[in-house]
Amino acid sequence: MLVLTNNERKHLRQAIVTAYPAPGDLEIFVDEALNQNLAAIAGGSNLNQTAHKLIQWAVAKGHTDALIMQLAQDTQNPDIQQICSRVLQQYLSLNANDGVGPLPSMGQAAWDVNYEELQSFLPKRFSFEADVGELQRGLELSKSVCKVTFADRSADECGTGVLIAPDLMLTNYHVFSREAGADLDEIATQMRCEFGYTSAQSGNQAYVCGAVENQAVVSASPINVLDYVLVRLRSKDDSANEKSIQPVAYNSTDQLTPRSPLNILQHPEGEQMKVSLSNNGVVKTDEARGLVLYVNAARPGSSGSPCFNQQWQLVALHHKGLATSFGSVREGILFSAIYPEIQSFLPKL
Amino acid sequence: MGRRIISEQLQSGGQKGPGPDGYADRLMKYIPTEAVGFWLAVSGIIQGGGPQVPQLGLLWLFFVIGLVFTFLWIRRQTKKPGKPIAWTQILISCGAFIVWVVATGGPVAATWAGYQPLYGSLLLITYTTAIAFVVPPEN
Repeated sequence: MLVLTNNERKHLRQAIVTAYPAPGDLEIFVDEALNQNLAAIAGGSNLNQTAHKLIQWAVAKGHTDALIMQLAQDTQNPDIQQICSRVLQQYLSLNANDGVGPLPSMGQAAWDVNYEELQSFLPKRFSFEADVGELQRGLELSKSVCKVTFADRSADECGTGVLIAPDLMLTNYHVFSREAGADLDEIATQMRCEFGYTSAQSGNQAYVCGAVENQAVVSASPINVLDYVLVRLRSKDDSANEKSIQPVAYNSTDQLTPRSPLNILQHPEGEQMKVSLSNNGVVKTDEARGLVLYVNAARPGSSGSPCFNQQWQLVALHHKGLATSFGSVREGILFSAIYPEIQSFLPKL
Repeated sequence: MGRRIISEQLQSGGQKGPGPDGYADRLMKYIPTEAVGFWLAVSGIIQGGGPQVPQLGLLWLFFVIGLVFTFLWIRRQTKKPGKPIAWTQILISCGAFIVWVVATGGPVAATWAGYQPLYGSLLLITYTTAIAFVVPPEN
């Protein structure tokens, strides 16, 4: 059963008073929504006292859940919506087992929730509105993301990369090697980039290419610094398929703020491309170290995946997962930290 | 599953084993079950030895042996090429051994007149719950 704190009861009382200013309105609500006689259960000399007694009655009789739900449905008053939404979201998140916990104890009739109720009670973190145009832009960019494998390694030793110039692909240093000082050019000769590796339903055609033969790695930074390699790709043919692959847009100046949106296109465990969307995924950034933490899902194989902001501009390069006291987060390298090292290789905008 | 707690994981493919350890994994890795098992067996034998053996002295002696064993065993188990010594995990595991000894009575109960089993139980529950929130630094 829902339990209100003293502060929540106070806010609820104030919200009821603002939502039902006329003397008869609250009486009608109690009669129609709760099947009760207001005068009998919550008599008072003024509206403030009546609202107070109504809440007291709901708490004493175990009808707090019903009162909150009915209030949220009965009026669009912003104070009511705010307090009801906050209390219920808090309740749901505190009681969630795997994210969505049982609704407050209720009878079978009340259990059959309709569409509007679902909209009201689903915690915001499980649902968010996305601009379709932006999503389409993101899907278009998926052509520029590739699965990175190596001819001399097992298929599961893979990563993800992203095209940031017509012939330049960015991925993590540790996708190439976990040792500092490794011969990256030699490793690049075995590299294979598979663009458009998505499920068959997408209709995308995969395009595979490798690195140029000489001095393929144009810039790199070891794992404990910025963990990236920039590789020059060779042009395989002049097909329309290849031409449709355009470099992603990047943002080398914007600062990511906590709870801002972040989207990742990735090949987790070498699978067909997946997108991890979030409308508030950024946890925090460390500009000095060029790092960003976020909650988007990622798995081994996602290293080197491009992280995009809401406008689908490249803002970070995913590289690791971190344990925290209360769960886990993922860490990426800010593109604003990589950009000064590679800007001389990129075409002038 | 290695004994060393994994706090972070580079996410290129081909990783062996699961990703960063969560609360339950950390809890299991922090508790030195081998040393606790050693202590439960040894202390039971000593306390059943009768009045003719110096029980208190033996309990303290084997407590020290258990503590040294915990230190060396966890240090050995958490050793990983290219990684520094897992001091945080070693110290927390040694602390866990001490707490288990206190919780089961042992030399502390015999030495401290005001000892109540309740204190040991509360300490054990609190310590065990709290340590798994500690994420040891990877480097």
